[in-house]
Amino acid sequence: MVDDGDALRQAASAVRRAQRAAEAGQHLTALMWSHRAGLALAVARRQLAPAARDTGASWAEIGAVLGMTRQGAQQALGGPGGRRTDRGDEDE
Amino acid sequence: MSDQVTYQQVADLPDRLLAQLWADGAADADPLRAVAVASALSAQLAAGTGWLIHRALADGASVDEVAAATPHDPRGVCDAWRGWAASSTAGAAPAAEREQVAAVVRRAELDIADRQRHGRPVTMLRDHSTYPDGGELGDPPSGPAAAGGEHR
Repeated sequence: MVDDGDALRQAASAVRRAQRAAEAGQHLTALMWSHRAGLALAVARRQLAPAARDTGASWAEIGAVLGMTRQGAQQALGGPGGRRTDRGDEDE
Repeated sequence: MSDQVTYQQVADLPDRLLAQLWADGAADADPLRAVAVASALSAQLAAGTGWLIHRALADGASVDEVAAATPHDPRGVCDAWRGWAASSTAGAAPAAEREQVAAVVRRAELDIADRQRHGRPVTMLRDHSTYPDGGELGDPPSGPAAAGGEHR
């Protein structure tokens, strides 16, 4: 299993590869790497959200940084049925 | 402004933000901030990926080849298109080139509809670390472009 730090590092690596390919005019190859970077970032974001919850962030706060509603963030990143809704999140 | 400079600008932000993230150790110490950084990078990359779709098509790549380069994620292709369409480079692109990109998006939308009919996810962005084809996130991409089949 890739942890959040690995996923972020892989995203950074993929971005650099995409950049090099684009500079070489290999746009299809760059597209593949840029696409992979986006996927790695999504994995990182998904794995970091529970960690943010563990450090005390509310779903409303997580949603705010993602440009989502509290409910949207919880549904998208909280797993089946959502994760904990403590700290009064239900009332937000 | 050259095409290369355009993608350089897109790619510079992720590099700088990620470097800052590592320097601060924010991924461990402040995961909420790390989520915010990852989200900002995603938005930036969407524009960059859309721009690359445009460039690959202009190079002569087919819609099928572009779809093969962005597997398992038709929703991401649509997001990339929207990100690029909102950028300044899209406004300067000839109408014919914009139509080429729109064809890729239409294909992705058909893929989304088909997946929804069959109860399959419209994006592979699940909380796992591998691609549906078994490859790890860090694996080099495969396909005609990776094999040297670039259209120049």
